[in-house]
Amino acid sequence: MSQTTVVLADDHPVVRQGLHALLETQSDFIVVGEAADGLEAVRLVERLKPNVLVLDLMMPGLNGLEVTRQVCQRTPQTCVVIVSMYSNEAYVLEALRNGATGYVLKDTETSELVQAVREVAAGRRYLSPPLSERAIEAYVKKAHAAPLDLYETLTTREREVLHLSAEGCTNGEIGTRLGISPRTAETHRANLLRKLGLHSQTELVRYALQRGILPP
Amino acid sequence: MPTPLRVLILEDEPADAELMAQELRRAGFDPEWERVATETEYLALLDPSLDLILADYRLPQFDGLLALRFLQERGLDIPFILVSGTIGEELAVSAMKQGATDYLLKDRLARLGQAVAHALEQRRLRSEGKQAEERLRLQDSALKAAANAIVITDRDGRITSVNPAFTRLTGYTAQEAIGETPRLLRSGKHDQAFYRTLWETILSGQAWSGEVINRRKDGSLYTEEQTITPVHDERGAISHFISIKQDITERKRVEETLQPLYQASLQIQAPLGLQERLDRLLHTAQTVLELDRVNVLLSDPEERMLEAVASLGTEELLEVIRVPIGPEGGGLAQAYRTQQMVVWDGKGRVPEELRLKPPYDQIEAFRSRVFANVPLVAAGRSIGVMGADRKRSSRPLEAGTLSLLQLFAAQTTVAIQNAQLFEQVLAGRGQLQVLSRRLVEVQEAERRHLARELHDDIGQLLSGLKLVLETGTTVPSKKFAMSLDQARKLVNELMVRVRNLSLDLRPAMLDDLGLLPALLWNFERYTAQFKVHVVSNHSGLERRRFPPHVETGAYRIVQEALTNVARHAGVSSVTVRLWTDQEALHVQVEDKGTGFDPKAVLGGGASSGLTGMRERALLLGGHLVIDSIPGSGTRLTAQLPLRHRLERRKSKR
Repeated sequence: MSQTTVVLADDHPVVRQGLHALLETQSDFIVVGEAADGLEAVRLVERLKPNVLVLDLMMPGLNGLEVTRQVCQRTPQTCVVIVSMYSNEAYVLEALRNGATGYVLKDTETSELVQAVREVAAGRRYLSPPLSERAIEAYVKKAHAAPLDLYETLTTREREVLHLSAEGCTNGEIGTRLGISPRTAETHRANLLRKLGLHSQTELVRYALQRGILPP
Repeated sequence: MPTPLRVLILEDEPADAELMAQELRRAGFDPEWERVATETEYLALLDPSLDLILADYRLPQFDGLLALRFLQERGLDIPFILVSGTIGEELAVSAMKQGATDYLLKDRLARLGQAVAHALEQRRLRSEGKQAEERLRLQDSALKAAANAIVITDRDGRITSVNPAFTRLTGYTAQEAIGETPRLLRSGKHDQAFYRTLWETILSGQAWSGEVINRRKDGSLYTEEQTITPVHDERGAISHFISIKQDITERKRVEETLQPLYQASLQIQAPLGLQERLDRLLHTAQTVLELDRVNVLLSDPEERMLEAVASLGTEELLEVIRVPIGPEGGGLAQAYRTQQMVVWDGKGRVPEELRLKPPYDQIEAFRSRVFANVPLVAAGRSIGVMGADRKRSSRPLEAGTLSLLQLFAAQTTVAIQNAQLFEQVLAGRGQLQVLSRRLVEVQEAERRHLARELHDDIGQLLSGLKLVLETGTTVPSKKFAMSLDQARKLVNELMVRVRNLSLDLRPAMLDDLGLLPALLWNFERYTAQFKVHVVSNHSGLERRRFPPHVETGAYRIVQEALTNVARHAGVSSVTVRLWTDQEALHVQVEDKGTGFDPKAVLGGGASSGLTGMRERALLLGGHLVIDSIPGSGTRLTAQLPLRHRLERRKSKR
């Protein structure tokens, strides 16, 4: 039976020792190297080409996410298991995007790490509970979701200028109506055009029609 | 020495002609003569160089009187003397009437010399008179055409004549001036000694020149450069004085204005307060431009009113001198809006659009017929208006005055801008002091919190853990596993505490993953902690990184704003909007809660976090806009530039 080769990367010697001891309790695992910072981890993996890299997310030098990205690019045969304090979906997502296939939380049962190394070595993905694929999908949706209504970002004055401008008032007329100088009216108009991503009076009128500012 | 004489003799008898010539020589002339007997010959030789014509009255083919008529028709002034043997008294009188100079009988030729001498003398006098007349006419038109005012007085100083330029300069017509003395123009600006020196100089026969300040008929003052030259009669006594005046008011004004303008520009660099600087500028403008009143009005931040910041020539309080930027504000508002100078010359009723409407028409500072409103424009933006007027004099503001007024307005604008910048720097420094004091406070509070957490929570847990581990070694082996399990639980609890503590201090996520993930995570914790739901809208932020200071700034602003909402707004939901354009990252936090009066809160100095947020935005080169109305919610919008301002200016070129 072939053994699974593992490289450990963590900046705390005590943690490394602990992880080392834990993994070596499994007869099919063999720890072939240990790194104390991100750069060393990348070099070591490149040289030793282990089956699995067990990697602390928080690392001096290069952080875990960046180490993951580089390792996955340079040594695609090595699978990465992230060990992290953070159960946050954003981290998991970023780790997965960078090429990690395992994500293990530090405050769960130690047996999980063993399971994770075994799973990723077998080519599967492993996320420790309470993380789940569904939670990550939900996060992705949230990060995409609820696009901004740019109209909401306009100030009260800009909205007033937008309405008058859509009705065809000149800057001078807007100035008179609102009691400001034509120059200031022009500035408000330029700002609102920029905010709404509009470039001409025609586009402004079209926008006003679409939003129902002007009756069709 | 004989007098040369060119003579034409009209005579059919050669001997008679010879006799006449002889007689002329005898009388002391040197005649160069020619005799003609026919009309053709006569006309051929008739030319202006002749000194004398002697004509027989009766000729076989011609006629003496006819010859005289030809002479007159040609407009020649040549003495014409009839010489005849037969002329009667009656004919002679008729010939003289027709213009003959003299007549004499052939048998009395001895009188010829005397007659010729007399005729020549008469002609000389006539021609001199004509020349004098011509000279007079020439002098008169020169006098009239002269650009300089010219006054001629008699020896006693009584005006005998003035030219049109004098009327233009002083406003007095020739009729009004003649008979008066130049005291008519006295301004009272010179003492008696001045006039005494003047008179002593000219009465001694010398010319006097100098600058004199005089008063026009309309009461206004002007400065002239005057030269008075005495005129002597043939006996050498002074008969008249000629005074030539040049109006140098404009030149003086320019000279006098340039100096204060120069000093004004020096003053701008001097460490004076804005008020003092404006007062000095206005004072200079008032004096130099002969204005009755000068006001400087600046727009309020909302551009609704023009409010006086300096005023000269009125007793009113500055607070009273304010007009709306609108139709009620008349010419002042118009100058502000159009960025064009508004001038009224005082002739007729002030046009409707320039008139102040009630109650602003009651402001004393603006009640005048002649005025100019000059917009104060800085970097293309109106910041206010300089109003100048003449209340007492209805003399319109001259082109020169108006252009100088515009120069003053420009100087005023610079002074105001500098002062505002200076005040901003001072205010900035003050705010910086407040901020650093706050920073120290915040730091201390953070340390206190950390110390408490470390001591109370983590310290306690560690003590507990130590206790469990110590007792674990002494307990029976069957309970040992239980102790270990207890210890493991304590360690897990410790890990959670430490992680939260570290996240509170600074979320590593912000550095590792960027603003959006860090905020989304923050919203979750926030909702869990305060039971306030966060609706987040964003565009352009996903998987995008910004400069670290911008991410930190935005994160902290949102964090602070959300804390405020939880504490003060009394709502169960809050909206956070995040978006970007090429220039900046925008962050907006809006709630429909209790709201507040931003001015009161910011001005109150109470640390509501608003000042902190605003400082953060300002430090990043951006700004924070606070829209809040008591009772209808609050909206905070921060704009954080993504590039340095200088870089942006460069890239625009």
